[in-house]
Amino acid sequence: MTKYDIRLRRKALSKGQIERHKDFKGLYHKESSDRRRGSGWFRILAIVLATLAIVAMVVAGVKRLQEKRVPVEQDDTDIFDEFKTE
Amino acid sequence: MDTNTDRNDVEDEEAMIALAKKDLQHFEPIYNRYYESIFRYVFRKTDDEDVAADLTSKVFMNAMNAIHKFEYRGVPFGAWLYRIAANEANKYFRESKRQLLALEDHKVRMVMNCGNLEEADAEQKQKVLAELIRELDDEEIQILELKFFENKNFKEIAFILEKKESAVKMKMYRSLNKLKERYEKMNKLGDD
Repeated sequence: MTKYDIRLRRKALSKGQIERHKDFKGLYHKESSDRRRGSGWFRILAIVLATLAIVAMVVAGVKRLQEKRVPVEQDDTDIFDEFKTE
Repeated sequence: MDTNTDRNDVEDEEAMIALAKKDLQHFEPIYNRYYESIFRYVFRKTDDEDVAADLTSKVFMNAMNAIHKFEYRGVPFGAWLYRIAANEANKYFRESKRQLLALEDHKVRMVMNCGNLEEADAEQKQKVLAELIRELDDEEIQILELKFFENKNFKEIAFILEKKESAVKMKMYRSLNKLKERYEKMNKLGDD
């Protein structure tokens, strides 16, 4: 058993009735403005992502530099200490 | 478009699509060629002129957005539009869960003749067919609709419904037989 609701219609739509709804120019303008809007959003998203990537790289670089600056602990051993015991 | 699209038509269409892929302003001849048939197809499913106009616009909008993906694979561009239209109609009906099929006089005659279902009165024909079709499943109705109301060939129907051609053929003959059996049963009950 179908979920279709079968209806009877005496007459089909006339060509004129259908032509009334035809509007390629309107559709074309809508499509191009949608596309522009879509590509605008895409551009904004790309800029945000690129900025985030740059910030992340800068933060990572700064961190690495700070790690390098930590002085390496060295024992102040006197090279002549061994002679002192003598 | 008619099923018997000849080679020249296909070549013309291919050229039109190639141009439209470069610049969508050239989509207009394709739009003009298919607008009426897609509108009628959607209208038959919605039975509402304004809804049909909206859905038809969506179909062409989607087609324009995705035209770069279209490639000729043995079925005309129209079949691709029908596939988009079927998907749009399904989306529209997803909430209401009940699809429409409006039967027009001259289309009914074609199904009745093909199924050898003779009925003298045109109005009676419509009523009988509506009664019989109600008993079929959704896919069988879709196939009959595309075959008899939209004049599509099996290859195109298979493409539109995303099925195998052999499966479509089998289902179509089975549903015509079903219609015939039910029609005979109905007549027998009427005689008794």
